[in-house]
This record gives sequence, structure tokens and C-alpha cells, in this order.
Amino acid sequence: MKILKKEADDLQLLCFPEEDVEKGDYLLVTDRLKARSLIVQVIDIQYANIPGILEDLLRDGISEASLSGDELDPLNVSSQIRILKDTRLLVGKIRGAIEDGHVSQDVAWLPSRNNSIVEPMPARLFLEALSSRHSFEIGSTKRFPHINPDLAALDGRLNIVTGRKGTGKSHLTKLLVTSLVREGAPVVVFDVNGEYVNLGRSTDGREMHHSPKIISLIPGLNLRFSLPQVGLGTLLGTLTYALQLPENSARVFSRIWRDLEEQNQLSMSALGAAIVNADCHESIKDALHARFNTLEDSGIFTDDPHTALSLENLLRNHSEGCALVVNMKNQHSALRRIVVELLISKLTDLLATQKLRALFLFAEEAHLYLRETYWDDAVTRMRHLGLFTTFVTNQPDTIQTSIYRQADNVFLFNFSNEHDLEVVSKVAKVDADTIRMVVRDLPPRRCLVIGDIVANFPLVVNVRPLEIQTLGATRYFFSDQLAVA
Amino acid sequence: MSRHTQQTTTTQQKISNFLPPEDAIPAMPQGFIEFCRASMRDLRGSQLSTLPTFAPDFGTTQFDGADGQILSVEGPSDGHVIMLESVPTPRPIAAIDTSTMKLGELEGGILCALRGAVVTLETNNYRYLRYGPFVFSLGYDGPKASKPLETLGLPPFSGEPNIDGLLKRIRNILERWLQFNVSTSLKEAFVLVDGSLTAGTPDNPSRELESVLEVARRSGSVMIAISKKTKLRIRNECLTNLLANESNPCLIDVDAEVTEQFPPYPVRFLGRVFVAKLAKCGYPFRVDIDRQISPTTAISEFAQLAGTDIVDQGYPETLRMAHILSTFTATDALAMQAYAESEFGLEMVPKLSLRHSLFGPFGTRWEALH
Repeated sequence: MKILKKEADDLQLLCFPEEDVEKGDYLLVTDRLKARSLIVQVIDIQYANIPGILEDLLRDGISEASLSGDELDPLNVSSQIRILKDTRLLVGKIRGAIEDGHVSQDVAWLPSRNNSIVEPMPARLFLEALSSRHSFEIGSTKRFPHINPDLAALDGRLNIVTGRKGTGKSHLTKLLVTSLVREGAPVVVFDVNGEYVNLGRSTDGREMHHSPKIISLIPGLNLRFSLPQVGLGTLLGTLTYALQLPENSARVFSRIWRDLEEQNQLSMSALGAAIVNADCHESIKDALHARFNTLEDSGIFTDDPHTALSLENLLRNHSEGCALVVNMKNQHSALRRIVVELLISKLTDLLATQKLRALFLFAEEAHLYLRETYWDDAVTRMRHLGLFTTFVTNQPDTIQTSIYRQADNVFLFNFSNEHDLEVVSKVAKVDADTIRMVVRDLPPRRCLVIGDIVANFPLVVNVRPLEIQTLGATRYFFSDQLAVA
Repeated sequence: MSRHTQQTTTTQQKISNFLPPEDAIPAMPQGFIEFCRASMRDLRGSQLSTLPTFAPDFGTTQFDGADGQILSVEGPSDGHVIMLESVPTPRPIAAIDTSTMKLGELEGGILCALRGAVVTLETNNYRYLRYGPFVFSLGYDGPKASKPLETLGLPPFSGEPNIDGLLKRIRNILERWLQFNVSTSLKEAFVLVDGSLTAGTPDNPSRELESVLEVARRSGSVMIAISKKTKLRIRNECLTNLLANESNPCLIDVDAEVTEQFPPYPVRFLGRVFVAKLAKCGYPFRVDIDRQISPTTAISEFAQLAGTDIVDQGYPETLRMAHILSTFTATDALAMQAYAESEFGLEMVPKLSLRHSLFGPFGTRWEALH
């Protein structure tokens, strides 16, 4: 490989046919006289614009179409012509430098065209850059068979997993969840499709070591709360955000709640009766009654304290790490919103009162149930409280631009749609060119990892297979589709 | 009307013995391979100044009679135009073309490349055989530079050689070898070449062309040369303008008018000269056909050629393809320079443009021409 051109942080290299380079690969451009190197990531591979190539190809086209023949080339000069025709232009981004054997950010120098050698970046240098206090194997790259980033890079961070349908987002999310659980972290997963419930089972159905740490919570079944557990603030938030209760009605509801609380009669049955007998305008009464019926029908409220779930106790009993999988499969959208609002309010309350140290929240198909204001909360208030959210979605435009700008880690799977690429290119941790050029060519199960988790060296990773039952894989009617997938 | 007498003489005007006996034609011109290797042998470590502009030579080695000066030939009257009725035949057609290019300057000479192509048409099937590229050097140091040329059968010379003439001569050798080869292997064929059947210059000796014509005759074939560009002019107009007003296929015999302007020696018109338009609304070309074929038979041969090959725009398809296949592109030039670098250890340096160095942007374009 040879240096062709440098402009800002773009470096163009000529690459000859026998040199094996793929998009996402890291190269080291070492100036032998200066004894320093630039770390360059290949973000696009093009044909080199060789003088006369058009004439050559036209001639080949003409001769291939209308006549056959032989080449008598005793000096084998044609091999050089073939090499030239297949010479590629690598478009690279400078990601850093190597000084005295260590990674540095001093890239304000220009390597010599004559005295530089370009070679694949040695695995040692790259792996050194990834610290590994709480390492987990995310997968491999073509050159590095084991990529073990640090889970601590998810701690206190805001993360996004996004990509087209069927590209492997949920697969990676399951890997992150199980890795966090193994490292003793508390995790809550909003599971829209019921695909995380078997994270504790191996592919052949056996219970795995971490199986007791995977707790499936089904709203109305084992996810139920008593009203005193929930509290007015949480319930009012749920009524307002999930069930769009108007402000006037909310005020009346607060009054009813406080009256019941003073009388020590806080229960669903008492609440229902109090609404019926409330001294207020009929329209407010109707509004409150309609919301109450929805809450009652949801089955997630109980007057029996023995069937009510204590999140605090549950998490305390699993201090060695656990994943609370909130299975919302087959639940209607209103119930999903109620469950999510209740849980977020409850968890925030636990975190604010220091009853819980920190928590990792995975919001699968987040756009289906999270209210708009939550996006802002996630990057400001929640982070300070210790609720570290990972959004998982195939609709990148449902996540606000501010989230992309502030995301600490982004796991990007394939997108080919220009609009989607435009949205995800707002990620602040990497340039838009890298996203546009790399992401559109990613095959399934391969993702571009950006951010702290890869020490800000964007990396194209083949996500490793999981030994657990993943469920959630796309179901096919034609069996040959399975092989393709 | 002046008679054309001027001839360029150079040190390498002798005749080579490169053409093999008819019964021992190799698949490859082995002498060329040896010549290339011998000419490059001592160049390791030498600098090759690559030329700033890509300059393949698309011309022809054939001398059309007017070397460097315009002839004023009195033309035949319009009544001599003969209409051509194309006659399809199953006869094979072979077309031969070669091209050369200079790849750069060496300290003691020049690095060159040569390629040849033969395209045949038999039973409606076009096939090609491409020879080369042959990469070789030509030196300015006479005795030393002439040594490798011995492998081509060229006699040694002393003094500084005319490099351009020498390059034409080498190209001519390959061209004649290919023509000889084709004429030997095909029977009752049309053998088409680029240029003319005029010979007798230092870089285009007549003996070799005579040998090729002789072999073609014995095989029942006919050799026809078609020239895209001629310096011959009639009444201050290009020779081909004689048929400017004709749209149907036709030809005109201008042999007497052309040949009588020249002395019988050294230039020899081994072909009979016509101006022919082989296709309706096609371009007219100067066309030479073996002189030993009678004018009547020659006209019949042209009619058969027009009916056998595709003559879109008046130019035979086989010859068009041979030309395309033999020419060099800029990619070829780069590849051959890389070959010379890797195989023979030449060090490439860009040629210094003195004009550019002195005048910067004011010495490279329009102003450089004035």
C-alpha cells in the first residue's frame, strides 16, 4: 500500500490486488524516519482512477463481446496490467497515532510518501487500547479473533443499538444483558416481543449457571403493585403520561388519593368507590372513572400485599446481579405505557432515595412505549440518578437527535436507507462519512461499534454467537430462507 | 511537377534476416524475446525518466511514397471511377497491426514497447492473437546498442543511431513476421495490413515485403494495405478527396499517377495504388493491392473483400479490431513502467519539464505553442 493523498483527517491509500483489506480495517502508516505511526481506519474501498482505464475497459468489452482469442505475452507484462486494473483506492480516516509504542492523539504531522510503510495494525496495539477490568467477548474482527471490551464503558453511559430489522440488534442486546448480569450488574429489560425470557437457558434448553438471575416479570401475573407501594407521584405520572389524564382531573385525583391515604384506606376498591362518589363535575368524574377502569383491567394493581411485587426486595435479593425481564408480549399499547411509566417512576424513586446504587435499563423497541420527555430525562436526570439506558430500535428517527449527539456508545447495524443513515450520522463520537460508508455495507450480525466501549476506535465487529436461547429470531415459512438468514 | 527523390539514410538501413523459413515458423518470434532481455540486461539501477505526456505511436511504419513532403499529382478524370458490387465469399480474412510507444528516457537511450495483433475472420467467427507487449531499450551508444539487435537479425552499426528510425525498423520487423506467419498459414485469404505496400526506406526494407507478398501469392492469398492517412495529394487536395462526391461503393485507380512521380529506386511500389470506398456512404481510403495482381482481378478482390468482411464506414472490421488490440493505453504504459522497475530494477523518476520549471503556469498551455 502507498500513501496517495491526505486532507484534514482523510487519508487516501493505493492498495494493490494481493493486499487484503476490508472496510473497517485498521492500518498503521509508519514513517520509518520519524519512527512514528498514524492509525488509519479504512471506511471505503474504491477502484483507483488509473489513467487510460476507460480505454482499456472499453477495449476489453469490445473484444470480449465480439471475438475470442489468445494472448502471447512471453514477458508476462499483462500481469502488471491486471494488477493496475484491480488497484484499489482506500479511503481512510485518521483515528490516532502511535508514539513510543503508545497510542496518542497527536496527529498533526504528515507521514512521508517515500519513507512510510503501510501495514495492518498489529492486534497488540489495538487490544492495549481497550482496557479490560470487566471484559466481555463481544465478537471478532477479521484480524482480531477476540474483541474483549470493558463493560465498565457502559456504566454511567447512554447507549444506542440500532439497525435494520433482522440484522442482529436483539442478539447483541442479549449479549450485553447477559454479560452485565454475569458481572453482577442489575438490569431491567423492557421486552416487547417476549424474546429475553429464556436468557437463562442454553440453546438445547438446559438451565445455565446464570439462569436464577434471569427473572421474567409478566404484568398482571407476577408484576403487580399495591397502591401504597406505588405512591401518588408515580401513579399520577402514569395517569398523566400514559393515560393522558387532564390537569383538572389530576388535581381531583390527588385530592381523592390524599383523603384515602388519611383514612388509611388506600386500595383499588376504595379508590374506585371514591371516584364514583367524588364531589366534582361529571366530566371529571367520567375521565377519572375511565382511567381507573383501565388501571383495574390491566391487572397490575392488587390490594393483596402478598401478591404485590417489591422491586426493592427483589433487587436486594439478587445483589450478585440479575436481569428483570419485563415481558410485554401480546400486551396492548396502553398497558405497555402504564407498565413502563410505573417501572421507570419506581426505579427512579429507588435510585433517588439511594435504595438502589445504579441500574442498567434496556429499552427494546423503545419508540413503542416511551414518552417523548423521557428522552431528555435519559440524558440528564436519569444518568445522574444512576439509570443507564440502552435504546434498541430499528426506527432511528424515533430517537431524538440530542440523544445521538450525547450517546456514549453506539452499536450500528446495517442501514441502507439514506434517511436512516442521515439520522444515525448525527452520532457525535464519529464522523458522518464513516457511518455512511461503513454501515450501508454491513452484513447481518456485523456492527459498527462506536464510543467509549472501543476506546473511541470505531470497530466493525462480527458479533459472536450466543450459547443461550435467543428466541426473537425472524421466523420463516420457506426453510431455505433460514439458511440465507 | 517534381519527382520525389529525397531519402533519409541512417546507420541501420541494412536488411534483417529475421523472417524464418516457411516450414519452421515458431508460435512466438523468439528473437524478440531474446532481444528484449538482452537490451534490458545491463540496466539495473538505471534511472528511467518517465515522459510527462502519454504518447503512443498510432501511426504506421509503412512509407506511402511522400516522406515529409506533399506531392502534387495530377488526378485521373472522373470517368475512371469504378463502381463496386460487393460479393460475399467464404474466404478467410486476416488483419495485422502493430504499435509502439516510448515509455521513458534512460541515461543512455530510451525505453520502448511494441505490441502486435492479428485478427482473423473465418466462417463468421472473429478471433484474435495478440503478441506482446515487448519491452526493450534502444541505446545511443552505437556498438553497445547494436549488440542486442543482432538477435533480430540486424547487422551491427557504429555511431549514434537514429532512435526513432530504429524503433520503426523494429516495429517493421515484427509486422513483417506477423504478415509472413499469417500468409503462410492461411490459404486463399485476404491479408489486410495498415498502411501501404510501398517499401524501400531504411526502416521498411523492400526485400521483406517482397517475401511476404511471395508467400501470400503461393497460398492463393491477396495482400491489401489500407491507409487511414496519406500524404499524397492531387490538385492540392488529399488523394482520398477524389471520391468525395461518390456515395456508393467505388474505387479509382491512381497507380500510374502516383508511381510515375517516383524514381524506380530505392522506393518501390510493391502494391497497385487505388482510392476506394468500400461501403455506401463510407470513408474513402488509399488502398494498395499486390502489384502482381492484374487491375481487373484487383477490382474483383476489392468487391469480394467488401462482401466478406464488415466494412462499416468503409474500413474492414478485422483491421479495425487489430488496430484496437495492438494500441497502447495509458494503463498499459504504467504497467510496463512498473514491469521494467520490478523486473529489471529501473528506478523511475519524473522527467524534468524545463519549460514548466522556468515559466511555471505560463509555460505549459497555449503560450507554450507561441
